[in-house]
Amino acid sequence: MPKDEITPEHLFWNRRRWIQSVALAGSLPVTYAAYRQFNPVDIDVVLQPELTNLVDSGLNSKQLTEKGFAVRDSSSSIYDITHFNNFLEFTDDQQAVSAKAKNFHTNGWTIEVGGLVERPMTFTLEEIRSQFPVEERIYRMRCIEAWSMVIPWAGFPLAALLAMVRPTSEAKFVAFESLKDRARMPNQVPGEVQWPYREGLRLDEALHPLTLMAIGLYRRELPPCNGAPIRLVVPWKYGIKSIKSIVRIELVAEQPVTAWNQAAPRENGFYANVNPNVDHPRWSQKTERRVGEVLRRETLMFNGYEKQVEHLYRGMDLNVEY
Amino acid sequence: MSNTDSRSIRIRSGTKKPGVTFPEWFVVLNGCLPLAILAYDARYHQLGPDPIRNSLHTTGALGLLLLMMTLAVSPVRSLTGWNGIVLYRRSLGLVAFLYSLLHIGIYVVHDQAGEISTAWNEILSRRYLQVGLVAFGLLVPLAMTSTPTMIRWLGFRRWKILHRFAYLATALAIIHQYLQSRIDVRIPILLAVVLTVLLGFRLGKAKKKKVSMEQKES
Repeated sequence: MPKDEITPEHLFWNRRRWIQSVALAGSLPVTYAAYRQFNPVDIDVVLQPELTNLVDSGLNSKQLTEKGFAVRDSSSSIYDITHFNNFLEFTDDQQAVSAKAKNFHTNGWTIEVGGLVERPMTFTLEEIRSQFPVEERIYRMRCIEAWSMVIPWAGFPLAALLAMVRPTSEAKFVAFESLKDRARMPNQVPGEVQWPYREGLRLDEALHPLTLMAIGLYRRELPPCNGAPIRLVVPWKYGIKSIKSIVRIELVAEQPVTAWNQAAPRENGFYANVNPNVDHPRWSQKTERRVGEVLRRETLMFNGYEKQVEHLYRGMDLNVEY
Repeated sequence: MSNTDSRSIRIRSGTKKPGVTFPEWFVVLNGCLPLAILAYDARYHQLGPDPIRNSLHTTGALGLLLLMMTLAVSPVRSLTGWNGIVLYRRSLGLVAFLYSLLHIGIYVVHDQAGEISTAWNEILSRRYLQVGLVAFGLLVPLAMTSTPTMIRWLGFRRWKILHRFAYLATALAIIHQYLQSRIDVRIPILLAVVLTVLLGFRLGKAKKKKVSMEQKES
């Protein structure tokens, strides 16, 4: 090779420097994009339509607290409530449910109520909204994962719905089923939790005045990430019991199968009552973090509803029937 | 003319006696960029409703990812013949260590509200925390012996043996992640498979080396 075709040394090093700078400069946006893919920023709050038929319970604030229909703690923000959800049908990442469930539609939704009842019925959403007096209930929500919120639900007592269908004397339990539709709930993949998501209550638990069928929160329709269009709320039990997007309710004689109990019976009992004295096999249930707070709070027996529900469990060993 | 010459000399000497080499710049800048974004998001309340949990998961995942990349250096080198890749390894390992340090720091300072006694009680009663702590404990001596001085002080053979603990630390970190997973364990399972492949590669290479040495001797 003629000597003058060899790149002069100073140019060679120059070029190397140049390539390195380009590589470095080019790599940073790639790293940025990859990171954002896994930890996206989602600060949008999509407001649902307002509920028009909310009724005033006529109780003063002292009576509301007495009954457990309201709590003194301030409610979690609409942002927190709609951006931190356990809704495995969409994703197991709590902060991603909101975005993943955003386009979930509830057109043509019906709820079938049957089983051991005198009058089986099927309701459309319009019928649900018009036939039951919807009131606001501000409940604590305690997740089995040791976090909590305060949520202003809008709904009606499950007891009102059950009164319409009239359970027969053989009915001892109420079984609930969520929607099963993989096209609309893309994370309904075969795994430990079997679809549809199922839940169940003892009949006396179902009839308790605190047990709510929620169709909204913050006086607006229920957002998809919180279980649109209709869900159960049982405030003295871990959140897993408060089944979302319900399509079927059945009165039965035997204790029904429940999704998490079936998936991991040691970790999730049928009752799943909030109980600081019974630890989860993998973590303590003594304290919880209220979403939005730094310091942990003491977890309250029956999530603070001991006075209202304790009589349901008298004589039961809650260490065994957890 | 004399101007160009003096510049070329400066560049040349700068390249030959570098303070921080290009691979180091590359790894440190790309490795710390996620940390900068995390800090930015934390500052502007963009980490979602549970920023502590988010930053815990993020630092943990990044630490584990970088550990796996550190262990992948040697197999990639043998497969591609790109010897220069070893220059990236030390920085990868150190950035991985930085994230695991932050991970533990956030756990104690924020998740447990800085109460060492509560944190310690939790660690004593939770298997996944114990496994995670041991993984971190194994990384400390590796990070401390990452300088050329320490390599010389230990002797290369001993240093090399010590740094095989990186495999154990990574395995424990994956077990730690697996144990704290809720239901979806696909990621820890995937990582375990990758680690097994990396480890298999390493063992296969060690065996080959041994065989070839024995052949030489005979």
